[in-house]
Amino acid sequence: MKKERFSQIALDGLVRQNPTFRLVLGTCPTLAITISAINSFGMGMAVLFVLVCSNVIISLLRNVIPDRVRIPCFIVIIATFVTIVSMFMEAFLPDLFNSLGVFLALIVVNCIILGRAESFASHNPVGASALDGLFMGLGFTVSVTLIAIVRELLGSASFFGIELWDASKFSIKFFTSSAGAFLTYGLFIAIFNVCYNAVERKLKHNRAHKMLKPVTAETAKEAE
Amino acid sequence: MDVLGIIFSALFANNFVLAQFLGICPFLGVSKKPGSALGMGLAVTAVMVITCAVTYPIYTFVLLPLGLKYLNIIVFILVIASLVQMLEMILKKFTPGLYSSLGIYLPLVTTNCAILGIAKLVTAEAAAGLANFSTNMVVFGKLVKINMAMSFGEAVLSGLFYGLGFTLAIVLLSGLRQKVDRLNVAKSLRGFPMTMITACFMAMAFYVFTLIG
Amino acid sequence: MSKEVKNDVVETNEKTASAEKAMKKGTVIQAVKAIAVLVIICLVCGILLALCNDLLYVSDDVKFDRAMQKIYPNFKKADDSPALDTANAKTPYGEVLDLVKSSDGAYILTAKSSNIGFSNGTVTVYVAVSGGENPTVAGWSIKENVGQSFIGNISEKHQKTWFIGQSITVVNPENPEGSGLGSGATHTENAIGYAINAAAYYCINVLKLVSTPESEAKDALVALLGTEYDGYGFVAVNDAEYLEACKVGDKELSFYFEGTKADSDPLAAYVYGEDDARQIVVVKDGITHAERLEEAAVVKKSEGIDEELVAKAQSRSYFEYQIQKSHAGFEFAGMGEVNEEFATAEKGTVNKIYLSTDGAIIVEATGNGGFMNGTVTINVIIADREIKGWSIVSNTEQSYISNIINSTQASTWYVGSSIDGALELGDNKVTGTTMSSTAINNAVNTACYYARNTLPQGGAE
Repeated sequence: MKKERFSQIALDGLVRQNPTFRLVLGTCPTLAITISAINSFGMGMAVLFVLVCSNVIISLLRNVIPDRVRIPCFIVIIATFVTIVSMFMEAFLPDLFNSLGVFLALIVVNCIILGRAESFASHNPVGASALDGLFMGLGFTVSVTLIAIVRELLGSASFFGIELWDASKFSIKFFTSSAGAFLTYGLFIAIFNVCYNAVERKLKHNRAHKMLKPVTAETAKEAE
Repeated sequence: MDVLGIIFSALFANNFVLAQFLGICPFLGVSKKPGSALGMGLAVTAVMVITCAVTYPIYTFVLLPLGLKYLNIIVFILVIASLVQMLEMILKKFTPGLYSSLGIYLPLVTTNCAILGIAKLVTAEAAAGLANFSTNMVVFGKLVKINMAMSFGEAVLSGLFYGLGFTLAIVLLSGLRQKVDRLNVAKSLRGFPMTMITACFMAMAFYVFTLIG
Repeated sequence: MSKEVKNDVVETNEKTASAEKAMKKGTVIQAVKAIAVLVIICLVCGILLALCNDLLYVSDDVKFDRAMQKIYPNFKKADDSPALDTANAKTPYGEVLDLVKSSDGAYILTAKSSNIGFSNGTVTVYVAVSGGENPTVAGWSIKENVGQSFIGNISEKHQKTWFIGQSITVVNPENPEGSGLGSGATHTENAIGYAINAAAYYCINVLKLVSTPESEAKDALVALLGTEYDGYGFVAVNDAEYLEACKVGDKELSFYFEGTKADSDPLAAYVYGEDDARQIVVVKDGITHAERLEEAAVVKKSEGIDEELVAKAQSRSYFEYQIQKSHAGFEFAGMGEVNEEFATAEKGTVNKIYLSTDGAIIVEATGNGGFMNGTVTINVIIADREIKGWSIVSNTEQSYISNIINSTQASTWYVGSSIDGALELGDNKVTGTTMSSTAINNAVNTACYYARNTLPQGGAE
């Protein structure tokens, strides 16, 4: 049971309810920071940290916080962790801090975090909430990093900041522009949908098959 | 900074949605019909103006002198949340007609990053004591001169016109979606992907404005 | 959005509805409790943040150092960082806006180019200049720009290679070699070059980080002239032959400067010797008025100067020398009268005519359309309906005119061309001085227009 719950949460966060591709939440930072893979990874980690911490705290306080002031309380808790992350980044990773700019502060209003606090952490135990935060954060990180790798490769001819070839010889500047961000993200969602639907259809098919088989076997036995 | 500069940059060149990626969630989510898009846009504009008018003095006259700069995110978001609540109550009480058309969008405004974004934007200049050296921001990999408001009037004006820029973008998109949503496209492209591709073309069109001036 | 989120919204609405019901019952305690919890959470969060802030606070000084370290990695703000000398912040290439000194002796300057960029825009850059014996450009980065649409073409890579390591005495405003930039950014590159040169100029002339023999000679000259001659821009003429021709005995002319100032007569300065043995003569009217060469007034001279040197300076003007060089037979016969009918052409005016005994003339013409809408005045020697030579008399606002004066290539322009057709410079120009060259071209054409219409047909035989 415990293991099943774990894999369920993990699958939800990474695939079934992938915040970037399935729920299409937190689009602002996704579009803005995916210009470079390092930025995206940093942003993903920051979101992951805030998600886990706020989920844990909110889950701990879920019986203390009155319903009426629920949202302000969540926001204050989230804002605290966001401030801590941005302080930490400013002190130790100033480059990343500068390139993420205002989007670091905007984690506060990232729908993923408030959404998870509201729909999961506020009525689930601490362990599950922490796991949920971890996998949602990972889902976000992986997704934005994937988009960023594509945009960086095509737009500035590099991979995680390592120059692969001379950008002045071949690079499609379009992918570094805001229009390119919209296009790449849109196509990524479409591709994800295609894969997701294909896999789901297959799984459903298998399940149906499995359910059929035992029945036939039993009936066969009975028949014998 | 000149007023015309703020207006032009807020509406077109630095359009919050299409150039700076702020407020994308409502931009994609509430743009199905032009009517609701306009409502959302106006609600955002109203909250933006009030937010600028409130956060700018709070930041400049309270947080900065007391050395509590680090509390800015918490204070801003609380101010915005309570402002939205208050606005909702006032609208409900005095103009029920307006409330029924605008009110449903108001709660969504709280989590609209454009609002927190504008609050951070108008207070950024006040923070930059080393104006000459530290406002050199590399945004999105290219050098963008961010037009930062420097006085209260300019802050409010920025709020108004960035809000109107948001309204412009979302109304335009909703108009386009009237057609685009009815197109017969591949199943996996329906919904968000197609909206994003539409937004992509809008962003390209708006990019041209950055080449002016 | 997914179903789950929708469900959540419904659930939330239900929750608020039930909460409202509870409130209607008038349980004040619950309201108080709610507020108390919120306040406590806020307080705890505030205290937590205050603690974190204490631990992780980054002071403005550190932030400043960090920002500067992007341009110059070893930067640490020095305690004795000088203030900007605003009176001398304007240079021929642009303006220095700010500067800060690093503890290891390096400087970081904020310099803005003059309006030479794309669509007359500017570029402002940070320039790091290393300290030590031979200061070099240690780094630079773009701060902001006005109207440079293609500034995006200047990548980080370029900011790490262009100009880096060049001594500030030799930085060249022209494009760095092999920049390999795409088209469209040429003007922006020029503006960047200008801004970096403005910083270098400030380092040499105001901060005195480095002294070249030329800058020392110029300093001595400015000191000799005193404040009443402030504002003269002196440009050294690097014409080895002329320097040699001005030799008096074993006393060599080390520098010859031409000084110009708007609305003032041009000056010529002869600097003999170096250091303590330096002797300077500054001559007025010695540049243009060949007919009164002997009367050329000595404006200032070093104390105890050899009278021979003064006489030489008075007798051998650069103007005369150049005319002799390009047209050996020119014997001055007097001033001609300017025919007003043809004196004003489309892009310039004719000011003076010098006549010779053999029919050759010198037309002094001013051409418009230079850099910053300035002008260039030149002398054109015409004989046999052909241009025999030309030289620059004066200019306004042409920061880069020295490139042309010093260019050996420029002296060959137009020579041998007929005055009967429109003249064009073509590709044979000095890079980076397009605007000044345009003004020169306009002046030459104005002179030709005048000569074409006033000289008798068929030459002067």
